[in-house]
Amino acid sequence: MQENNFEKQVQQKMEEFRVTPASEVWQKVELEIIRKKRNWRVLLVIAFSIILLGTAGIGWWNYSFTPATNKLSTINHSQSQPQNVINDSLKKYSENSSNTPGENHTLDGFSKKADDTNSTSNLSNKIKKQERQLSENNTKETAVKALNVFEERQEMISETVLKSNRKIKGKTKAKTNTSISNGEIEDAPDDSIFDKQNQVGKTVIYLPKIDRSGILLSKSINKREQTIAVKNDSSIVQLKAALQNLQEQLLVTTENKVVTANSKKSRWQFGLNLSFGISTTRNSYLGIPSTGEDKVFADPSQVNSGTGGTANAGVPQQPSAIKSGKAFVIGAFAKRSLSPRLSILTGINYKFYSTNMFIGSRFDSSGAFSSVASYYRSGSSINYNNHFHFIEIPFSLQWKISKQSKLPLYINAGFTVTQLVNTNALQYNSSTGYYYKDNSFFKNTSVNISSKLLIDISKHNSQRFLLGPELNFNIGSMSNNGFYQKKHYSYLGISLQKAIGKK
Amino acid sequence: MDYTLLVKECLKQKPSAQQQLYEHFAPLMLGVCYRYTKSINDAEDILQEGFVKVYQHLSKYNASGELGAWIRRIMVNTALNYLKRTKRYRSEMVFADMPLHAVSDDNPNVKLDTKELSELIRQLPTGFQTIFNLYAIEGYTHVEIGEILGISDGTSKSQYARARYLLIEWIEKYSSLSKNEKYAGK
Repeated sequence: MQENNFEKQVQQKMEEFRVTPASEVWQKVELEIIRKKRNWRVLLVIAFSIILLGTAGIGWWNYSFTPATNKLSTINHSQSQPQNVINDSLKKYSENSSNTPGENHTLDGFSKKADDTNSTSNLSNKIKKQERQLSENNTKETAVKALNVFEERQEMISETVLKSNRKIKGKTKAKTNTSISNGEIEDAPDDSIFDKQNQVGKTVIYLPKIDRSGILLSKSINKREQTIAVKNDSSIVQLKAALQNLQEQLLVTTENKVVTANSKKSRWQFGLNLSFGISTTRNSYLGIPSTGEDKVFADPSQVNSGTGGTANAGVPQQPSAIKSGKAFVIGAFAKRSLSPRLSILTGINYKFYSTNMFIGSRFDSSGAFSSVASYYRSGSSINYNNHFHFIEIPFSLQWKISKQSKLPLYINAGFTVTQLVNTNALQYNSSTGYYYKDNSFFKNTSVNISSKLLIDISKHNSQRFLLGPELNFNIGSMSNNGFYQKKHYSYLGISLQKAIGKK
Repeated sequence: MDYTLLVKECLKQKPSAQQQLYEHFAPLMLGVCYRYTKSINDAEDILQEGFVKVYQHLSKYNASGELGAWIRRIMVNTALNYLKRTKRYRSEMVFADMPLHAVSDDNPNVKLDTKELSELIRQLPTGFQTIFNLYAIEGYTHVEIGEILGISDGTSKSQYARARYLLIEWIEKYSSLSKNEKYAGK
């Protein structure tokens, strides 16, 4: 084969053909690999954030619907724990100190252990541990740990004090011997926080009562519970000195924060937000059907098929399943920077939700429902749109989760206070199988939990145009009774935030 | 060189292994890319794009096959895509149906070196050049070429025959030139 001979020669020659590329080619390849890796990371961060957002939402939802009695008992329990632990530990510590007067107790462990107790969410676990340790008569160590609880509260207290900076500013400078109560600094009463000598030569330590949010309640405490008489030995003097130091540090920090906060100019930014998506009203979170809910509604045999005639009075009827419908939110927001990565947002929105349901023919009311003009029979001849119109005021925190300047990510979480303005939603009478309008059943004001994951998609200016998924659901039920009892509004959509003016 | 180990290291995203793989195959692959284009810059662009694809899809590489051949296939596909999407090449890639040109019986002894031969191949019109590369060097059939380029296998055969005829003519002419004449021609 002559042809193949030529081709073989060419093929062989070309197999040996090599050209050395320029060094820039590898650099470009390397850059491209890094860029692609980065893109993957961004996608992973987005996916992870969505999962996190969803999980947090579900968690919050579940928490919101824990029976009230349980929640109260939990809160009371956790509120009482820190105080009891501090009291018990100090009491035991003082008793132990009196038994071993020669032992020198240092407070070096304060600062080291305080770092481990920063998380308030772990507080109750740590308190339980402390209780166990107390029961083992390891009183010296537990006393120190109990004091760590106080130190841990220091940060929370300073934040609380910062909120009421006006009141603080005048009084903190005037006196150092002050206590903090319910977010305000007040003059120390006779039962001062830390010490006083009683008439029989014993040091009486008054401990600050701390509630769950870190607020001291020194005035409202039961003195009998708080007062522990201990002998005035060297250990107690050290203990007292350490506590006083903590208090002074707290006051100095508070003062600095107040001055810094006042000196900062407020950074407000305004803009428009638009969101569109789907809404539903279901018994469960975000329209996900609870067990059996959809099954019952979807069963055709359960739904009255007639479009005329009278409904079977007295026979329990099943209403139509509620399908999700179009929804949108439009409004304006005001944003204030709290830090380079954290902002607080508020504003005003108009919100429109809709749902769909199948109903029977319309029937003018002549007697069955004297209070309503007309009603609808059960059936599936009409696809009825329930419309809900709201005005809402959102409050949320926006946190920049990525430091990347090219594609910054923000998580926006908060709540909205929502006022139902108008609705044409139908109620349902299960005994007659009639749908009718009665807006008196609906709760006019409700609170919604809202969360967004936003990506800055503007090319040049940072925080100019944010886009991302949004979920929003209603805490509590839509109405106290009627068809929408135990149902909640849910919304899932795409949100756009456009800032106006220069950053 | 232990390609299996190198591939494993590359899959772990080790830059040193990636660079080693590149340095080993880049000259050969640039030679491949060079044959499909009219300029070295275009060839380097294809090489860059091709290597990014190699690292991206390395997990799909079947270790039983030859790594060089696998990378070469990626380079050829990348080159063809590049030709299709680049305007100046696309406009030249017109494969008009022409009467089947009989394949020449000429069987010249190719005495040119690899560089000279590759330069002659690159002088062919883009359509001829592509089909010649695919058929004579890569070993694709006319049916496969027809599928790749979206033409009939007859057109591919015809185009190849004309390309072959032109190339043989040029090789013979070029081979008959004295060394001085070759340099003068350049």
